[in-house]
Amino acid sequence: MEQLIYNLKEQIIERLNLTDTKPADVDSDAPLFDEGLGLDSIDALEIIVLLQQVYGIKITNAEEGKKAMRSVKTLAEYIIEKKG
Amino acid sequence: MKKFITGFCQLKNGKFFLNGKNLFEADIPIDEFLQQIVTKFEVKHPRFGKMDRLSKLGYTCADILLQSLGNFKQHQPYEVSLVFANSSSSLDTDFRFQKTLESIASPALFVYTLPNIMLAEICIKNGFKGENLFLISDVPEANLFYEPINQLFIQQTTKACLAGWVEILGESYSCTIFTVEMPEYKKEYQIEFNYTNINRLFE
Repeated sequence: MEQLIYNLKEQIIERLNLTDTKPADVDSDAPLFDEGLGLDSIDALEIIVLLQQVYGIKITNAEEGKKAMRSVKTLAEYIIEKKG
Repeated sequence: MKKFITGFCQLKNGKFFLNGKNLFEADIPIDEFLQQIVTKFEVKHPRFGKMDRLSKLGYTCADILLQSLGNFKQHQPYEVSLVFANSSSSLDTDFRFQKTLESIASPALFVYTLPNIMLAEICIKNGFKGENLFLISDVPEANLFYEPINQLFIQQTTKACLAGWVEILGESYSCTIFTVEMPEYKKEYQIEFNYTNINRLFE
């Protein structure tokens, strides 16, 4: 779980070009949107693409996606749940 | 109605000029060059890293020019218009976006596949709400800018204009951005807004 969380932080930083952010700066429990990393709707779409490309997971239910993308930790839990 | 070019900045061939004064030069790739002047001139934008290269180039030069003009901020949001042009439109980003189509299209790149998004970045940061125009032409020349800007001032909705040529495609780039204002907004740098002086900016 810890390794997955670290990988996700690295992948989000790279994918969203968060040039001044390091994995250690990202609080695993902090909200990804508005507060915390302050991501926006386009960033959410990029994370959906990341999940599909890297983890082979397709989010089809908007509510489920919203819950999964609350924080890096919830995203990792979602990946583990989907990958079994 | 007389108007004046009240400031200009230029980035070409590894040199950065403000009102004709060479403030920085380095023989390095354009992305690295931009990063260096962003740090040196304290250009700040929370989304800068996410912008495409055209927006980064235009935004950086516009920000440094506007910082140097201090009192440009006295214009009301609806009185500031933007007239820009280039020759490659958003092709630099279009090619990058096209590559992502081989797997899954990138939404973050897609939003930059129009050249006037660069204008939006400048307007959002500075609160400008006037007219916006982005033209495509082979070369930068006075008639691209003179008539549209003149017309905006004649309509009396525009009291100030930010204009320029912002071109980037691969490692080839050039950027010249200038401000046009009425005589009452006197500036340290001031030349008459006419065909000859606009063409001089692009020499």
